[in-house]
Parts: sequence; structure tokens; C-alpha cells
Amino acid sequence: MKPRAPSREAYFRALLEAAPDAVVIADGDGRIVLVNAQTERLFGYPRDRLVGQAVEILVPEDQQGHHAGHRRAYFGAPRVRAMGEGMELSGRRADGSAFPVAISLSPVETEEGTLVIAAIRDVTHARQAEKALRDRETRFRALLEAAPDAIVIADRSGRIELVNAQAERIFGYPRDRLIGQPIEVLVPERLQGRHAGHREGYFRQPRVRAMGEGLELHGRRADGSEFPVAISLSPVETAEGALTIAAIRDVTERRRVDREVKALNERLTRDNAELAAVNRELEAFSYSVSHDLRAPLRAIDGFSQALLEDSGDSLDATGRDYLNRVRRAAQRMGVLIDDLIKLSRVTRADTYMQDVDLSALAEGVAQDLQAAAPGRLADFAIEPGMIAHGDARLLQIALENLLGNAWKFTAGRTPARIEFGRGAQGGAEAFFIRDNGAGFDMAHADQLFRAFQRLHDAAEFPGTGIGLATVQRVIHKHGGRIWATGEVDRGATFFFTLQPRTANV
Amino acid sequence: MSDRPILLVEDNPDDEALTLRAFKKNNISNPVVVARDGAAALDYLFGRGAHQGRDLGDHPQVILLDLKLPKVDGLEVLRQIRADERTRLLPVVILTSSREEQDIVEGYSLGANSYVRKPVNFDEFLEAARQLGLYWLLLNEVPSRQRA
Repeated sequence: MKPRAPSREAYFRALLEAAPDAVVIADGDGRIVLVNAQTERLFGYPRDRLVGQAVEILVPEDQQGHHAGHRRAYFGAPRVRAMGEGMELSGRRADGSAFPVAISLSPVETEEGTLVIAAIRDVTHARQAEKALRDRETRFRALLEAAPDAIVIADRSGRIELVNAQAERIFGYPRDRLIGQPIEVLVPERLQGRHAGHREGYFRQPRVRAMGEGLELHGRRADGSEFPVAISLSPVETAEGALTIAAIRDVTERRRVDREVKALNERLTRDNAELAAVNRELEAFSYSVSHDLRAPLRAIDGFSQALLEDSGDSLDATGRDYLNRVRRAAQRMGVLIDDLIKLSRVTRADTYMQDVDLSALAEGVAQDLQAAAPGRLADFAIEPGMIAHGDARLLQIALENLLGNAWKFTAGRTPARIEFGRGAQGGAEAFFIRDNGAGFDMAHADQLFRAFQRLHDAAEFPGTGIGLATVQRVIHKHGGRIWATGEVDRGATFFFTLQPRTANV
Repeated sequence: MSDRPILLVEDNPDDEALTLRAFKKNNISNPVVVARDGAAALDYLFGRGAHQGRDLGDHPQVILLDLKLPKVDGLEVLRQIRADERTRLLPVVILTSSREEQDIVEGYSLGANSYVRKPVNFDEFLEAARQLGLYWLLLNEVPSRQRA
């Protein structure tokens, strides 16, 4: 027995319920006649709450008035309207929420008059995807326009497809005068032919080419002037064919800076050479001083002595005194020359920085001083374990001078007391050498470290006035500072640091 | 005390006179041969020029060598002394005004036996001469006869 064929009504029903879109059938008054299961799901109503209602129940409230007008106009001239035509449409769920929809409309003539079949599709996902695409496009545009480099996109035939604001700016064209033009408008005329050839070659073997690779490149402005550029190239495959993205940078400023740096370097090299020459001269000069100036002094002293010995008897006391003065003057000049040489040696010395035990150096100096004058009663108090970072040879010279000074100026004291220690001074750690000797008047403190400046009578405290100048050079070579406090007949204290003072901001 | 000669290489006549006086004051009676430049010193040592035919076996007890010399400078003289089989063992004392570190280092690395700086003060000069004489003429032993 053949199964009974389903009724047309049943076919229609099955078809309707299986449709992927919500289907709503309405009559000429806008009343809902029939909905399918997809409509119930999409809008959240059971169908008995929809049938008989005005279709505006499915429209967001703020659009219901418009919709009624549109509906009446449609029934005036009904036609098939495909999905996606016209405006953005919204549906309204039972809970009042709105969602984007696409709607197709088909009029159907029936015995009851004209009906409209509306197929409604939720396009939330499609809208989101479109929006995301638009957002990406917007971001890309913003990025393109904000890029610090000029960006020009050209197609395979070398026509400009797109430029950004920076490209307009550096080439001096509004973009509508560039789009569609051959890229060679941006190339100096003398290089245009060659450029076209390069472009062909590039499209045959496209690759990413970074900025700065290869030769010096030039761009051409709208006014015909040229300027140096750096260019990077990147090929892109698109549905419309191969494109090339060129990022172009105006390197006028960089070239200028490069030239300036080069010029500065050359000058520095020249200055260095001059400085080296001056140093060599200084070297030769001090060598000559130490060697040649001493020989005549030796003769003056030596022959004065010979004269005193051999012919002293034929001179009176005044004559012998004069000869002794000649000798003393010559000897003093010898000492002066020696001290000057030492000073210049300190200035020229290369420093070899390491940890230096200042306490041990000072102990050694103190022993030497004491050994040279065993009769003197002196009390050295040297703080043990004072380690400093510096040049051992130069620091030895500094300590010899400072302790030697303390020793010299305490000559009349019994006992002499000489202290070497360290402590906080004005926020920084400083070493100090303190004595109970002759001291000095603070009014002249600024002269202490000048070469040949002496604050004491040479007869009482002999010296050349170079020792403290030498010490100061040693300290400055270490980036440190030296200063002193004192009072006449109450001793002096010399402070020094061996580190650059930390900057106070 | 040996009576072999002292070779004094010194271009400054004042320094020469003072050195001779200092020797005399210290009773150093060895004959002193004076060469007034580096070339003359080498001529004496190797029996050339003015010293053609000199008995090279009669070598000096000590050579006092200034560094800054006309014609051939002191360090070059020292180099040639040390390079020659006949003279390489001779005691050489650099006696100079300079106290430049590089002169001292170079002097010793070329084989100087001693480095003495001439003091300005004649009393110190006398003392230096006394000690030089005491050490190099009296205490120091050298090979009795070097190969000629």
C-alpha cells in the first residue's frame, strides 16, 4: 500500500519550520498571521503571543512609528525586496533588547487579500565582523597617516595607489595629484629612466628591502627640488595583484648631522694631535730643564767651593760670605728646578688606579722622616686600614709632601703631634692630616696651593712653595678636592678627597 | 787600589774639572782618560782614530758615562760597549744630570751597572765621587784581563 501523500499544507508547514530564517507572515493591516519556530527562538515569544499582534511588536519601540508608515507604503506598491537592500534594520526581542537583522519581503496574493512573507535573519555576527573590519581599516588608516615616514603604495605597473599625509608633506603634492600617477613623479628626472628599470626588476624578484641598504637615493618634490631619502620596500600580494609598499624618509637632517659629526671628529683628531705635540714639547722642555739648567748651577756651586778651599785665605770674611751666598743661591735654584720637574712629572703622569693602603704609605713616610731627624720627639697617630682607590705612586708623593709639611712646621713643638685619619666633612668622607705646628692665617688660605707661594719665612721654614701645588695636582688627577684650615701657632689641618663629589640635584 | 784608568765621557768642561777635583779630593789617583763626545769614547775603547794601536788589554777599571753627548749619545755608546765581545764586561756607571725615569730604565736595560745623578751641591758631588771610587775602584772585582 502506498503511503498517503502528505497534504500541501503539511509540506508548507515542514518547509516553514525548517527554514533557517525567522519567517513572519502578516496581512495588509500589519497583523501577524503566522510565524515559524525560528521566529519563536529568535524573538523569544511563543507563537500564540505573536499571532494576531501587529508586526511592530517585533520592532524596537523607537522605530515602531516609522515602521508602520513604511509598512503602509509597501502595501501600496508591494514588490519582492531582497535581503541586504536598504538601511540597517533592528529587531526587538520579548525582553525588549534590540538586535540587528536583515529582512527580505515577498508579497503573496491570497483569497484573504495580500499577505507579506518576511524572512528575518539575525545578523549580529555579520555586523560584528563588518565592524571589526571597519575598525581595522580605520586603525590602519590612522597608523598610515600617523607614520613618521612617507608611505607610498604602488601597483605592478608603478602607478601610485595610496599615499599618506607625510608623503604629501615631504613631496609637496596633495594626494589627488599623486594617486594614479607613475611613481617616477617622485624621482629626480635624471634618474627616472633608471628607476623604471629598477622597479621592473624588483617586481620580478620582490623581497623586503630595509632602509639604508644600498646606494644614496634622492626624492623629487613637486617644485622639482631634490632631497636625500632612505627607502624601505615591502611586497604585498592582494586580490588585485602585487603591490609594493615604500616607506620613504627625508634624511636631509640626518645627512647634515652625519656631516657635522664627521667634522667634529676630524677636529677632535686634529686637536688630539696638537695636544700630543704640545705634550711632547713639554716633555722635551722639562727634560732639557732637568738636564741643561742644572749643569751651570753645578759649576757655580762647585767652583765657588773650590775657590773657598784653594784661595779662601786670601779673601776677607765678607768675601767668603759672598761666596757662600753664591753657593746657597745656586743650591736653592737646584732644589727649585728639582721641585718644578716633580710638579710637571705629576701633571704628565699616567695614572694606574688600584686599591692603595694609605695608612701603610703614611707609616713609611713617617718612619723616613723620623729616621732623618732621630733627635726630634714626634707623635704620629695614623689611623690603620685606610684604603683608597688611586695611583699609588702619586699618592705616595702627596703623602710625602703633606706629612713632610706637617713635620717641617712642627719643628719647634715638643712633642710634635701629627695625625692622619678620615672623617665626614661637609657630607663627604675626607682624609685629613692635622698637626700642632705653626699653622697659618686663614686670610691667606687661598694662596696655599699656588706654586711658589709661601706663607712662612724661608729662614725659619725652608721650602720652594711647590709641594702643596704638587699635592693639589695629585688630588685633582684623582677627581678629588683639597682644602685646609688653620690658625697661626695653633696648627693646620689639610683635608682631601679622592673621589669626584657626587652631584647634588 | 787598581791603577787602571778611569774613562770619563763628559762633554761639559766644567763638569770635567769638577769631577777631576772631586777625584783628587778623595785621593783617587787612577789616571783619568777624558772623552768629550761619544765617538771619541768609542775610538778609545776600540783603538780607532786618535787611539789607533792602543793596547786594548789595558781596559779601564770603570767608565763614567754622561748621557747627553755630542755626535754619539751616551745610550748608544753603552749599546756598542755591551755589543762588543772586548768591552761587554766593563763596568759602566751612568753619571748624568737627568733623573728622567725613561733614561734610568733604558740605561739599566742596556746593561748599565749603576746610575748616578750629578748633584748641584758640590759637597754632595764630592760624596758621590768618594762612594764611586770606593766601590768601583776598591771593592768591585772585575775579570783580571779581558780578551783583547
